[in-house]
Amino acid sequence: MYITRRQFIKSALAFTAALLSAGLTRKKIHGGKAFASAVAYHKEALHYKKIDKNTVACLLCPHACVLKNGQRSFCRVREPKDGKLYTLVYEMPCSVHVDPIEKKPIYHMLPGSKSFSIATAGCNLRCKFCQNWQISQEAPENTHNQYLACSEVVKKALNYNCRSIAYTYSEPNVFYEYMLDTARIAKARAIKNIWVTGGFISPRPLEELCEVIDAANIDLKGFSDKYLREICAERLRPLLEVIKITKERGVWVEITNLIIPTLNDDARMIKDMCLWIKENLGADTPLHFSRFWPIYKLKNLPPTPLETLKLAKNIAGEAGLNFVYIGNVPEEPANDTRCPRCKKILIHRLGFSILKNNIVDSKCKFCGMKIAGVWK
Amino acid sequence: MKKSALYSLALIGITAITAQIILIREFFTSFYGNELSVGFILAIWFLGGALGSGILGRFFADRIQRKIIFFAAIQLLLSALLPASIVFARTSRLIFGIGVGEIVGLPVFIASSAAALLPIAISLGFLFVLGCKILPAKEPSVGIGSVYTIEAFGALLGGTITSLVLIRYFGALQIALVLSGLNLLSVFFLLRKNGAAARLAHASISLVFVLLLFAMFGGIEFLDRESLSLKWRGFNVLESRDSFYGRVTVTKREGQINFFGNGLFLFSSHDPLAAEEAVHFPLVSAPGAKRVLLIGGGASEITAEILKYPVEKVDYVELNPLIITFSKEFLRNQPFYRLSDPRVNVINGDGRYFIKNTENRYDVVIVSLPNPYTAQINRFYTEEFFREVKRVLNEGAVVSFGVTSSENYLSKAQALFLKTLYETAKAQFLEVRIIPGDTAYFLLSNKPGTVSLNCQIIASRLKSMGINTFYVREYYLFSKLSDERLGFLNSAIRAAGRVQRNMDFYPVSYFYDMVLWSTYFSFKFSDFFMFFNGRHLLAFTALFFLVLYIAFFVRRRSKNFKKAVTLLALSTTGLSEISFEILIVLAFQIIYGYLYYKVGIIVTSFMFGLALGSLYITQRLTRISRPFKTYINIQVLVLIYPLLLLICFKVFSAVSAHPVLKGIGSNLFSVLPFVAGFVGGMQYPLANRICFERNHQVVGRTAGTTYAVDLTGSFIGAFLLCSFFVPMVGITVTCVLVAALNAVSLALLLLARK
Repeated sequence: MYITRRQFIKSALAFTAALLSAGLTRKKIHGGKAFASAVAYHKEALHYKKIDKNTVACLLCPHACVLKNGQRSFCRVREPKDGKLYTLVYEMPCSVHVDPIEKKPIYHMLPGSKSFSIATAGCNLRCKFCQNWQISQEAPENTHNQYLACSEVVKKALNYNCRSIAYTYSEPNVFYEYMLDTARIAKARAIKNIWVTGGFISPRPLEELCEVIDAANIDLKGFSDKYLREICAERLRPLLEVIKITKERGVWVEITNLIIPTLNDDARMIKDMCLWIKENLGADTPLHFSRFWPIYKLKNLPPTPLETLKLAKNIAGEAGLNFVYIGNVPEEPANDTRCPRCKKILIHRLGFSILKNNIVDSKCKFCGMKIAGVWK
Repeated sequence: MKKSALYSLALIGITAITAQIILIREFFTSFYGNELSVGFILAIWFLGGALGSGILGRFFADRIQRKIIFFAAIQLLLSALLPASIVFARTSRLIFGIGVGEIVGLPVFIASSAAALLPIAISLGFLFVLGCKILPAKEPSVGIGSVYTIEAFGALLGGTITSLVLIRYFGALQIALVLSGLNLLSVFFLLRKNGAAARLAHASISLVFVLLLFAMFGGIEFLDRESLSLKWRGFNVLESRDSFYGRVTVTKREGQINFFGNGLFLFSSHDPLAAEEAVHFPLVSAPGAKRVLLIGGGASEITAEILKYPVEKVDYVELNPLIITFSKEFLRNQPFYRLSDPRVNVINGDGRYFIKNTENRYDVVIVSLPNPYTAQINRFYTEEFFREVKRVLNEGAVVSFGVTSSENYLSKAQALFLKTLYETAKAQFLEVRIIPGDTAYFLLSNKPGTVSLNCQIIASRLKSMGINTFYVREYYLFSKLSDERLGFLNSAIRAAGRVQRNMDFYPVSYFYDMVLWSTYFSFKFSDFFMFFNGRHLLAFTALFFLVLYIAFFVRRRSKNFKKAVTLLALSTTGLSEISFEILIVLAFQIIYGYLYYKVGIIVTSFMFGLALGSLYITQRLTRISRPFKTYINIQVLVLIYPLLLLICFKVFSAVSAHPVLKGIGSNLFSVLPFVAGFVGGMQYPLANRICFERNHQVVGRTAGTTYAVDLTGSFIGAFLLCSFFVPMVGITVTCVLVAALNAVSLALLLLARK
């Protein structure tokens, strides 16, 4: 087909103008701090099935929302339009901070390093003790968001000397597409990816995610389906399945169990959980018992007694777990990593800080035992 | 007969007020107790009374043949309902499947308080109307007026004894059972000579003996213990007692002791994070501090943390004496217990009162109180308070307080809440710094540069003073006080938009705390609050007044117009009276500090005025030749009163620092409610005289209608005032609005005069 030079220049100019204006509009929408509603339908979601032209089924998590056009998902951040499902939080985090990796908590990966942490609005759980309820229990149009492209997240992480990016605070599963794309770029730049999650996700998206994730801290909030259902709107079986798959796919897994007085502090339940962890994930899986502080809807429930946490640690030790920690109680020595063989202190911690690290080449400096974790 | 009827009628008043006092406390402590919930409870209570009198009384009282037996039967029912509702309040969480310590949404809260309170309030409303039928009187309106007066005197007696004596020495269940016993006795006296129902009389007197035996053999304690352990299931309840200032509960689990005030978690025996944050940020900013003032919180680990510094004196002011008593009892063996340290001076009283009156000067003032979730606590976060605090500070002193916040993200409601406090503090202090976290700590100083949020500086100061901490040290501060987190907090607050400063008479922070609280629930009534804030509410109210006026105005030629406007004025007076009572109590606390006896006197004085006012007019009821004219005159007084109140508030507030005038003002405060009560008390009997023909057959209908109208006014007043007007437009504007509402009534009354 013949095309004159004039025509060529004309179309090239038009094309450039279109590109530029698209870029500008996009900048305008994202410029400064826009609300999520302004960028709605920006990015088509992954993992959904079109049922008819008005209905889709989201396949991201076991809630499996079936949504009509314009209807919002349970997690408040996904909505179909014209028979396509869109994520409303792609590249729109509302919380961006730099934290010590120990705060996630991840104890067996790059101790003492910083982790660039991001979160968007929304969550597919309803935990009554959520520390980040102001974002997790909100729709993105009600939170103050900033535009932060996937590549920018990685760039910022590098600028802040962070060795990892943590998808955290609310529930990263609900900003799955954002997490996945960022993690891919990060991986290419040798930055680790940390998935801090309640673990409520379907197997297929999980498997895709495991390709790019280096470490996961998964909340096993209680070893009882009744507790998970009533307090968190979660279910036990799918959660355990997720933990197993994540481990099998070679992701470094640490488990957090937040113990809440009267709700999930039953010794029997804790024992069953520890035995399950040992059997399915191995004795080297770090387990963090976390102290509950009165917050959100459980504001009038007192903090977990120290005795309960110590008891839980003993139970876990007896069950044969090698690395058991009592989190957010710096006054307790149970924050240190000890060599399972020679029992000497490998990592001496005070809160989030590392006072001493005796792991050399992934091995105990004293007896040479290989210590599970990602140390480089 | 007459004597026993008098006793029974006075008993309605006693029962009503006592049940109201103890049940409000019980529900307040069973659910998250902010003033919104008090507004709801009061509203449900008045609504029940209105339903009982307006529906049951109005339609059935005139038709019932055996009035006395019916009256007695309801009293019998009441004597069972009273203790049952206390037990219900304690177990309702269990019934609704809500865990211990969990905050409850409004629907559950309303459902459970309605389930417990409505049956009692409805019975009491119905009893009032039945009472009007059984009291022999020549003139129906005099009869109704007399019942109203007797009931008011009963309420005066019951209210005074309960709030000043019973609450202190007896538990809610004991008081409820005493009321049950009194009602059973009344049944006995009413029916003992009534052939048809003498058996009922004997049954009730036997029940009194059963109750006595039950009490003698520890039955009440058993019920108390069991219902409390159901309420606090999973915890060992060491103590749960009322003082004038509210209920203190101490629980234990796995060796940890927990303190609760009115059901809200206060502190536990192991929480170094809260204590360290509250203490070290201010004290490290005022090195060399000698005198520290601590308002609240001293029974926790806070005092021990303060004493890590070389201070000479810590004055710890605590409002509720039970907190001190229970600390001595249960925390004495804890390593952090320092209340017996010679440097610690425990002062029992109101912090605001203390600051107004002390001659001491301090280097550090730590306010360790809950969020401003009531108008009462809001007094510690206002500009006037900060001004008073400034008076007791030495040069370079630091003031600090902590409120709910969020570490990783600030919602709009959260940012606005913090911003009101920031702007308020900034109006009085040159330097205001905020430490981000799940609790935001405010540090105030008048010497710029005093407060440093540099983590290295804080850590090195702590080190040089030899102070050991678990949390407030490098590793923790490094992340908490990073430039990025401080910047995030400051920019979120800056971006929050314009806010008013939190003032005594305009408690804005209390309003934003309420908005913040409402964001806990998925039902977004926070949007509703935000919309109705300030100008919108005023515009809406003005529109409502206009519509109200027009609605009546267009019917000015109808036959019943006079009756209708009389009832309207009665309801607006009902609304105004409850408003006056609430506003006077609130203003007194603001101007002079919270003194329980004085507040008790204010409430008593109000009820005394009400009883005397209705007695005065009832005695003259048949002699008044032009009752409608008198009614209009009273309406003029109800209109003027809130304006007078406003002037008094302003004047007393202005002279509250003057040594002589202060005393005069504080005493005049006891007279103010008497006047309000007296004026209000006069209107009810007169309304009956105006509206209804002299027909004994319709006494029930008459009394039922007027009483229901009166209570409906109170219902709307209690609900709107506590929950919306005071926090949203402040006390001053509320007074003007009450006057405006009465102006509408007055204008319509004048229209009806022709």
